[in-house]
Amino acid sequence: MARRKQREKRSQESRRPADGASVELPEQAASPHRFRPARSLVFFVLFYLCFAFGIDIRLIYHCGGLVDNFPSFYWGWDSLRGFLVVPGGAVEYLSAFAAQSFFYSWLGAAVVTAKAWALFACTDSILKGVGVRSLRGLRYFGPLVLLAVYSRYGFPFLTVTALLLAMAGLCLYLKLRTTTDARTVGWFLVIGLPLYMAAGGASLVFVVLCGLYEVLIERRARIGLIQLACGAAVPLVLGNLVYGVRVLDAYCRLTPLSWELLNRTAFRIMLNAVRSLYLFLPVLIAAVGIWRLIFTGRGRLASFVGKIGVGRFFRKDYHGEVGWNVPTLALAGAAAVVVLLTRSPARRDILRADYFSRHGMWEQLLDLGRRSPYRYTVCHAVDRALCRLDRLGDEMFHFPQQPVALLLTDRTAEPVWQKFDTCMDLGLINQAENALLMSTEIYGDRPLLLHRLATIHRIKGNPETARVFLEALAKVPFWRATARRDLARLKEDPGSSGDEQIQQWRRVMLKADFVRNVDVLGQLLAEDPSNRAAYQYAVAFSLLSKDLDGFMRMFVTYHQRNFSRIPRHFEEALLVFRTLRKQPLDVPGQTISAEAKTRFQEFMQAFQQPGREKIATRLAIREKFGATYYYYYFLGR
Amino acid sequence: MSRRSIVVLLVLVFAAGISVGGGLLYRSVSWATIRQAEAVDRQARIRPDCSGSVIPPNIAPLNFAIAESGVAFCARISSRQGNPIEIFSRDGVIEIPLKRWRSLLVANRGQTLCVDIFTRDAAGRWSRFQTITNQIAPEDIDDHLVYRKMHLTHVRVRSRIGIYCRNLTTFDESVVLDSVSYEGGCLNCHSFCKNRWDKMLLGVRSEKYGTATLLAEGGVVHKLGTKFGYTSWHPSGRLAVYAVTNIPLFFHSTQNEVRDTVNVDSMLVVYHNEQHRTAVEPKLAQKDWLENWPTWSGDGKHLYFCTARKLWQANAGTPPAHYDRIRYDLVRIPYDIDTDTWGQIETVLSAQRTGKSIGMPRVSPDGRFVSFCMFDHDYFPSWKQESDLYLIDLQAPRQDGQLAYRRLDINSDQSEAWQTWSSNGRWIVFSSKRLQGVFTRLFLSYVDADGNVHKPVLLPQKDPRFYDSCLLVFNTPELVVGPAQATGESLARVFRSHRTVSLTMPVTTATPAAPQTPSSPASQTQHE
Repeated sequence: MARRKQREKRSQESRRPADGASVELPEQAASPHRFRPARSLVFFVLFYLCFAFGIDIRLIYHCGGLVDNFPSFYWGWDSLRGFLVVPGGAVEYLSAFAAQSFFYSWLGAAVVTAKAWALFACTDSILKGVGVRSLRGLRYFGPLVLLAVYSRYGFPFLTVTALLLAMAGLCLYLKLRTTTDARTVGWFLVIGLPLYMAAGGASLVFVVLCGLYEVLIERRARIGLIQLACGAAVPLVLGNLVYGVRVLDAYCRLTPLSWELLNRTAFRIMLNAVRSLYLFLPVLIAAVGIWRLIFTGRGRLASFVGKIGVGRFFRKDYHGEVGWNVPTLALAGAAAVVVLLTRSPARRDILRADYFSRHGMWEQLLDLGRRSPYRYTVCHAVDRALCRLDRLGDEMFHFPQQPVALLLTDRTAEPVWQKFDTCMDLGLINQAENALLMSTEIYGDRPLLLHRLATIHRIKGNPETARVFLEALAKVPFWRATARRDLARLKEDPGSSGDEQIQQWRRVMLKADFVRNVDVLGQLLAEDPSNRAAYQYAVAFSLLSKDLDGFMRMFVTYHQRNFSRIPRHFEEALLVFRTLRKQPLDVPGQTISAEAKTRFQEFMQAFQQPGREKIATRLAIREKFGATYYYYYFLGR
Repeated sequence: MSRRSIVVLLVLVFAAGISVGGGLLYRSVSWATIRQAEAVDRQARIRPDCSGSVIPPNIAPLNFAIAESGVAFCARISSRQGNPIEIFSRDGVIEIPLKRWRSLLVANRGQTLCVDIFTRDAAGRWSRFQTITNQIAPEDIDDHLVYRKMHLTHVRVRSRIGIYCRNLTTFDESVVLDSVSYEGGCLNCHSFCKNRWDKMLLGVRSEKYGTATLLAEGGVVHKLGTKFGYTSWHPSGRLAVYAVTNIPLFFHSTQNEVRDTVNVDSMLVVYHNEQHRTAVEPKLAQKDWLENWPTWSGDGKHLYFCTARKLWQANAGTPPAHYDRIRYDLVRIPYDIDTDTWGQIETVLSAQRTGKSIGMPRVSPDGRFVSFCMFDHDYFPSWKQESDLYLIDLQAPRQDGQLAYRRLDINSDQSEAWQTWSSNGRWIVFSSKRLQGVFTRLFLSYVDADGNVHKPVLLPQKDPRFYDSCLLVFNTPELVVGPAQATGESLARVFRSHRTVSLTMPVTTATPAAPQTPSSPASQTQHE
């Protein structure tokens, strides 16, 4: 009885504000304030804007061949049932659903902001529960970690959702726990068991937090140890024996240790930051508990915090209004550092280029290409945009170029995601299908892939196959209308004979079947000399390879069938070819403009003058002739 | 109980009574109206189409969707005995109650099953279509079907793949082994001895845990240290014969089926189960021949397999030149289990005679029929659009000294493959792409005593629209009796363990010349 009273007293103490700063709270809360927006409100508004416009969260949804762990989601019981057969399936399903909000930047940013706010609120609630109000500035740790990871276009959505649920479980536990041992353990199990079913291995964070809290904060070692033992046994019993998953998965599922998550490259981005999110609260509670064990009496922590001055800053701004105060400046500084240190312009460029390319936003893509240094897939996307605009022969050397980027022929990197649309443009329908299927294997059933596969099968005259892809697509949020529209078209016209776009693809698609490597561009042109995309790519490839003979063959054979004029770079290549071969510059029917000739003479003079190897001279040539084929031919790589 | 509670309870009971009564009244009124429906001079279109089929008496309900326009639908399922089943639907989806369906079928074995379909238009007029009739077979089908479900490709070995066991009498499906349980990889052919779980072999490949074959024997699982290809158990269960193959993947530039494969080199190996040892019979592993697709006759006295003369040397590239000229014969070789001796290979059906290549032969359990696939060239029918199912009646009189073979009526213009016989020899299950092109689905067909194979039914699903949006393919079906014994984690745990029964292959002069069984890397493409 005496022990129980003692415990109740201690419990009451633990709920009472533990440090001096907090004692002043009610008074401050009651006092009238002039309006100043809450710091957290401002933080989260900026957080939202950063995600919506800075990070542009829809790029993650789009995938761009970089985000390989974005979840597929389908409406319907069949899909849900598949998730529920494993511990953590419920969170996985809900997380997959919530992630679909990334389809729109504004919506996805709202979801991530809500999640960050939930992390913030749960951390706050837990810190209050533990009685360390003076450390409430640490509430921002979770949101800042999210900011850092998403700035790098990492995608830890699932594991963070699972962690959030575990933290919410602890908040609930702190509200419901009583002074009675049995009830406390009872509440622990009532929360812990469904939590495990819902969040899988991430629920162990809840177990650890409860155990640490009881052992170190409440000093109820027996209860804490019982909770830790029960919590450790749950995955074994429920996960392994009931769900039938292997022991390692029963404990690690949905955590940053799970092999399923670690297999995905987008999850491994800033993995340690995500892991720190998992460790943050357990370490904090352990540290606070150990501190209190060493320096018995809770006031010590507060007084220490006060002594080092931290408490003073937080005490004054307990309500967290924005102003020129230290906490606000510290938060702003931390956020700025996170954004500056973790921003990833390269990944952003790659994702944006791919996004623009898929959506036919050619001018935006070219604009991005102008501002971006050479990047393999960006260069490829720019070339595709130029080809679609029939400007490849005019402008390709306005952009940084490498021969491997044109048709993604670098064997060290195999971006199947970027390949399929280019293959379709050219008429390589089977290659496109193959790339799409491999993409589904790597990136999952992304809606874009399903839609493209449906198109491929419409082109190939397999309406029933196309229908399967479209029916699946109709179950994906935000894609229902597109899928229904295409299904209706398919119903009306199964052969797609009235679809001009499909007919265009059928016209250019490769006819001959072969199973070994051949010159596909040559084959495409042999079958259809008016295949303008194939012609532009074939000529561009000759130019980039500095194969002037190949260029001339293509030019002479196919140019007039595809263009009524000579594009600028083709003129330049003709000039180089004829000059090197000592041929007359003008040939009937292939007249080169006077301006082109003049510019070429100027270049040759600059190029042949002594000292051309000097950096300054070279830079000057580049400044004036950098966007010409002859610069690429003589001075390019 | 308080007065308030009693009132609430009474209200609830009253409401329930009204609902039930109203429902019954509505139904009787509806039936009265439906009986006066206007007759339509054709059968209703239903999906999946199961009209005119012979169905197993123990099959799960063949739910279907009525593909006719209307605002209300009704299906009446009846037979000679028992109460008819009447189902109303607003969206045309007819889900038949399991218990009533089962009673109806069991009470009417060998009888006709009638399905009357009614639709109501927006004006409230009912139409009655011609009756759809099916035949209920007298014989059951084995109650479980084991198959593999996978995505369209498994080239990168990154997507999920699994072997599943479907209870054919219900809609229950359980996992036999899922690639998730060993951190991703491949799952290959599974084979059972005489349609039973007592002896099962299952090939597994993984980057992390290597390549092995799991032998589940009476609930005990062993990990054999090599991968078995296409495997067939001797009916005694004392040995199995498996194919060792080198089957690289390649792609077609325009053909409708993008993927293709070629058997570059292969042989058959004998696995003696009791001693856990392998042996190579020179006749089954000839250097210049490609042996594949082993399958035992029901009495175990013959091993049937396919073989073709190799047209290339080693390292001939992928695919080797003339790969499209390879055509396999169907041959058999006598075997005496008591003395462990093999006879001489005899040709059952030559490619020269058929002009086509033969693959995936299976012998009916009574030994009377051999079913197989035929296609233009090479060995893998699943990726050959022209692949069709054929049958040889081994007891039929020979024509000009040769066995007669015939193409089955159940074929379509798409690929048919992977057939398997039920233990009573009255059912075959096969895969076909007839419905949705590249998506392979499983079909069940009745084989009568004369070897006539009847119109198949699609493997039923609870939601008849299931296949409409299903992006997975179903293949390698095997009919088995009873539920799975060792499954899931009990299989995966053994595969992940280091305890392996190592199998060494004796040095032979046959192909391949290496002393070890060549094992496939985990990253090797998984074929359908």
